[in-house]
Amino acid sequence: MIEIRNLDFSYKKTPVFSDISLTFPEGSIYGLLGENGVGKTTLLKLICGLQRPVQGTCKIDGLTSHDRLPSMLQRIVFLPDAVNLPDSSTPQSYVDELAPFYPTFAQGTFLHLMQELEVEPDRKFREMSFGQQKKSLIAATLSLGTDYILLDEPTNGLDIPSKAQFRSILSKRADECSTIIISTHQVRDVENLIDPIVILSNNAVLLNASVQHITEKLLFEYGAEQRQDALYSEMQPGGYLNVVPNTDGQESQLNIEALFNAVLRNKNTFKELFK
Amino acid sequence: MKTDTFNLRRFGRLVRHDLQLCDPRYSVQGASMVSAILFPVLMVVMQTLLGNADNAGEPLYRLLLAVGFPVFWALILPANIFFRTDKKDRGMYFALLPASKCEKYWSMFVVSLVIVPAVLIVGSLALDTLVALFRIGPWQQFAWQIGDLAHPFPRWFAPVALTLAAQAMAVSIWVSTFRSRPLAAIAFVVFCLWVGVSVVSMVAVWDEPSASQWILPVIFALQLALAALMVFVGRRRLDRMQY
Repeated sequence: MIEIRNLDFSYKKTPVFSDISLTFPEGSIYGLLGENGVGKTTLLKLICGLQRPVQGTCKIDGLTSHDRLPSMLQRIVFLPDAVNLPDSSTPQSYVDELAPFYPTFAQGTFLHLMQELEVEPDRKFREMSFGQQKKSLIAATLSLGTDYILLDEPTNGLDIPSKAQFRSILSKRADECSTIIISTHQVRDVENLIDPIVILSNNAVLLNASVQHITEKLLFEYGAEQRQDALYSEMQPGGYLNVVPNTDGQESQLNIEALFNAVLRNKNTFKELFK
Repeated sequence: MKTDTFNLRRFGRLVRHDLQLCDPRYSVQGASMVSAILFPVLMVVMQTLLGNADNAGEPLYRLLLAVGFPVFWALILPANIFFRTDKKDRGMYFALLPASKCEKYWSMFVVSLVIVPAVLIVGSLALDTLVALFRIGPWQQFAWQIGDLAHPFPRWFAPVALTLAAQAMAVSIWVSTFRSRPLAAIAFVVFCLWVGVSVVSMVAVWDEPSASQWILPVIFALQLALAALMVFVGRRRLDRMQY
């Protein structure tokens, strides 16, 4: 389990987090959402130990992440948004570099994922497009077999079929009890995949709730008219999408973009609603 | 956990991993290492072919090339191999590699000080020796058979080579861990060069045979002091590194 307790973090004099607490129990795909610059990537870096909290703690299975102990590092992998890969190396040579350090690495899984994502493991990175490089890195990251997988904007650069393959691969991985945290702007790419959803805003966590909990509290209603009590409403072809408090326990399909906009416009209401 | 501090097997894997960064198939650093080994022989071949150097085949000249050039190369190569420690993307990769900070530091130390200079010098000398076996062109003697010059060799050559190797390590490790603080890196490089040049000059002008009796221990002490400083500062730097 990942446990963040009373964490403060700032870049020099710019505060990023102030007294945030979060837990990420095993076996789910968490969606980490937020506007540009709210600290999504920073939170991932704090979790894997690349940054040190100013105050508070961040622990993975009881081990302080910034200590970067080998036993902790073997359990976690972080795939940043952009990776500067050595031109002349190949996906296979890249995993060959990493594999000796991860006892759970499975070459069979790597080759299977590469095949599924339609990338050749022995092709040089310099001969690949950005999307193919990204797919290679996703395959390498997932084949390491770690308990915790942190992905920063993983669908950037992927074409439409690859995004579907990515979702399918990740769902299977979550079934194997890995904890996956995805930070992304492209919420449509990971809709129906992420659950729970964590939304960050200036220095704080605005929402950390499962999809079931969210749809218990909120109703995502498509109607001909804009509702007056809507926390957020958006004009769509044929009418309006309204996000309203779910007072009479109706069922609805979560729309992440609408949820995100509703949260940003009603920060205090959401804090109260999901207390 | 005890194995989180130092594990010999993991350390071995890390050294092997770091050496892979010198693989000429995948890195410019590796290719430059091969060229550093080949360069002295190519230099003699070129001079012989062009006929513009009477002393091209002299063992001392070849020895200087075969050792001097790789030592010079060792000054700059490890810094390039380990530049990743302070670069955002490769630095993250390095920091998250499941090995302890202690293992990462000592792997860098061993690769920079021992393996890279040794491979360069031994490789270069071995190549020269191989060519000399066939008595081709100017290679009528082995480079290390420097005859009458054998006496002064240990007196000045070893300390100079050691000083340069230690400077290589100092510069490499310091520069690689202080890239984001160029002033600190430059100050230290200047300091190292000043120490190196001072020692080399001192040894070169000293014509007293007895000098080697005291100058060698002084140089060794200097190397130890530099190494200790780097261990201390490098460890602290790696411990505090954030990306």
